[in-house]
Amino acid sequence: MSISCKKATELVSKREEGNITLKERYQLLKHISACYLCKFFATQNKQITKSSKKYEAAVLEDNLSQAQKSKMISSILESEGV
Amino acid sequence: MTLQKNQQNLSDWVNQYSDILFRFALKRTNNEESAKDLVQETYLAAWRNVEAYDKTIPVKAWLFAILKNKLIDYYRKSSKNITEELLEDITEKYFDADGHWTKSAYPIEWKKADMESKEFYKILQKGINGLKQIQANVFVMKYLDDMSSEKICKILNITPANYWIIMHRAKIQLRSYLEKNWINQ
Repeated sequence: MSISCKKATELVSKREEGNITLKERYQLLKHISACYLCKFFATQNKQITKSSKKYEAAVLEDNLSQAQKSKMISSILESEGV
Repeated sequence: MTLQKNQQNLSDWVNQYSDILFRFALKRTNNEESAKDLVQETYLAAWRNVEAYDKTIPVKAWLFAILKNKLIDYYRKSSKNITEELLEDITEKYFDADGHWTKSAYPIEWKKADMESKEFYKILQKGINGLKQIQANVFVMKYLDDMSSEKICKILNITPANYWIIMHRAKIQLRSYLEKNWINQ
């Protein structure tokens, strides 16, 4: 029996979590070979998780301003009664 | 040499490490205000516990250890309303009654290959920030913090089945957001 796109996307997530059964894996592969929408979905999902790992490692220049740093210091000292 | 609870130490640590702590927290909260608060809480805890500081550990590593603990608290505290989140099936708007993609939600081919630039990361950050908080948390814990699903379930006190539903919803929405706001731009 063939599965729906909704079910196929769920199986894509299940596969990424590593807890897909053999039967489900077969159902998913069969669906994806016939459905380009779900094929896009599966490929793109992989790209997103891969990019997220790169995002973690990327050096982005988000900095606190000098004013924010000074305020941070003074509010700690103030709250601690220094 | 013991560390002194003095102003000079505090300002040195803030000036030297607050930017890298902030960046670490920002990637995980995807929200500047929350990231800034976490950094401040980290320094406050460091200030209060300076006497207990183990001098064999570099200050930077010590501060990161504190921040990571604060982040776990943040994930836990901000992952409220699980029941509410589970009741509302957001995947419904992507599929019709038969489980086919609705026309407006059809995935398109991604021809734009760049998903590793600073510009992309800003959009990714917005996309994660736009998710329900618990969805954002499971996504970040898994793909940025590299935690196992068992560990995530334990921290957030959720069942594996619920974890999986939340993660699936996070991914389906994030994909759609990126398609609209990055690929299709």
